[in-house]
Amino acid sequence: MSTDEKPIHCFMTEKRLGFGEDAQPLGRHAEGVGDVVGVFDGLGGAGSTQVLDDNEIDMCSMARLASRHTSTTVDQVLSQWGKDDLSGVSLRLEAAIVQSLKKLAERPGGKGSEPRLRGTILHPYPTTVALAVVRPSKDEFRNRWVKVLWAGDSRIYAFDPSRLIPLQALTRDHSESGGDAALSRYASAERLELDERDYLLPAGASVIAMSDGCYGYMSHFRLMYLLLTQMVRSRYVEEWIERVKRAISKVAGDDTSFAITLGEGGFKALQEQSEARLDQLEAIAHIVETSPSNPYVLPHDDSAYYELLDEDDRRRAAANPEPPIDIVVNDGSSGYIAPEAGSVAGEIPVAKAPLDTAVSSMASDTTESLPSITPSITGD
Amino acid sequence: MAQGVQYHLDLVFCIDVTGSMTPVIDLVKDKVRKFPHDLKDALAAKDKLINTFRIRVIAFRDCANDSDSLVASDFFTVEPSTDLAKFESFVSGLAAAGGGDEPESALEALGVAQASNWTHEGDKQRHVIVMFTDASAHKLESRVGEVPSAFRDQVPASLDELTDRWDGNQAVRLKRTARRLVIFGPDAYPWNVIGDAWGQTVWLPSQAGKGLEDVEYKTILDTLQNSI
Repeated sequence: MSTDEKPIHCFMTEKRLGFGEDAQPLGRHAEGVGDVVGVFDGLGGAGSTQVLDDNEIDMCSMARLASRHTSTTVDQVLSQWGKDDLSGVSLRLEAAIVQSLKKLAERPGGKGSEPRLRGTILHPYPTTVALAVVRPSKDEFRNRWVKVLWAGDSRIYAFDPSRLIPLQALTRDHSESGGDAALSRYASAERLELDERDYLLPAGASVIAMSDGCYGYMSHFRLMYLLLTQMVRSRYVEEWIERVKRAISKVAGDDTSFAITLGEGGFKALQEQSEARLDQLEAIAHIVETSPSNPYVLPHDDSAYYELLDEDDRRRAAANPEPPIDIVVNDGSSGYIAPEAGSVAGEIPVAKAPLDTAVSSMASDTTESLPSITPSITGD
Repeated sequence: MAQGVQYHLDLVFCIDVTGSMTPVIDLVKDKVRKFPHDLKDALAAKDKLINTFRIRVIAFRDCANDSDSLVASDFFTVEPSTDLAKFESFVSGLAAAGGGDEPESALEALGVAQASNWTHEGDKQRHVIVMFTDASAHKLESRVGEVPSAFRDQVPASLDELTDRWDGNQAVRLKRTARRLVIFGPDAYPWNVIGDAWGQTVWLPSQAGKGLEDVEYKTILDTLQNSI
């Protein structure tokens, strides 16, 4: 990894600007704890009750507030943890998150203005949690030790293009019966039980947190292929993140949030491995179905299997050209590419500067420890 | 706009058309006619594309008192809007009458609704039942043999069986992952059992939605559109 390269990157997009239910992803280095990546996705159905926003003027859904407050709470707990030993951190997080959401429910107007509504769908301040703490192991192989904590269907993945299967989920969704089913576990003002797993990954493995908007609108293969193809087309990690954001939000029918901590060797190492892996994957990429009813396949005119498409699919591909990337959006905060007004699915932010200028400007912002990515709201 | 993912939505209205509904039946009919448009608008605002949207209407009275205690339409396709006029005409033709004593045959109607020919098309479906009633319901056990013969094989013999169909995914085409139930019914048996116990349920304790406020209606629509 070059000394200028930041190890942690995030993005978030909203389907309706200002109404999204994904919180700003968490991506930071917590002193004494390790790299932290996390995403929090408010449950729009269960948390649809309208309540006062933090500014005490606007109204928003319980789901929107829940995810933002949970992100802030997790950030605070891990910032203050300050020790190597993470035993007990799960219990501490559960208690702090529920307390913070309870506080929201107990404030004046916190239950919304329609308390007559009952039923098993509605819950107070429901949100998913998916969180990974990543740090070097103490063994001689410099492996990455990862603690994964989650509730719901937001996911943590290991991304390692040197592996035959470069993208592997480290979490298992808590849903009633898989797929499109309702969630069986999530955070709310009533309860939270985090699932927890520890992993040892190779030093070069990256760890990614994603909400369901990122992975739910394409097959696992397609998502893996997207990460790899966009990587080999990119010159810098910031460009890769921007390409991935656009490619995912273009097909996503939901808000998206994504946070990654890069493995040893950084972007260049990932890119070299990705080129080699793509050579193998492209040989089988064309076997995916391309029928119009298949929601998971969106052929592009530069896709590896374009020449195998029939005439109808080529027409569809022509309508979905891969946009050239010639800008990087930089809001000045290290490691975080902020969503701009209009930066929603299908819309591309206005060009501000040529790529090289933008990237060198970002590099000059680099500091040793990344600042917290704190949503613009105050926790408890 | 999201590309590719399209939703197949089936909605079944169960409407109490007994005499006690007379003061509210026009409001309910207005709400039923408006509901698909409002839900489509709510989904469009979230960029969710509906591939097909079908609606079925089941009108009920009391199996022990009325010869026409259960009347069920086929599914009307309202997106694309092939059968929209037929659906609105069917709803307009409903009239409140009969019913006898206060408990009605709402559970029988719920059984028929569960046994609908639900869509399994595409990758994402929603199977939504919306109940409007101002009354409690007879226990299913007390009306065995009185269900009209056309529906007899669709109606379970007990609330437990009805519950198993809903939460256990048994016997009917209703898809467990797709099911949603909205109840506009009083705080009485069985709504106070179902509303608090059946999965994926929203219940507004009320006389068939009487006094439904805009904010409550919006929350119900948001709950549905966000879980679609």
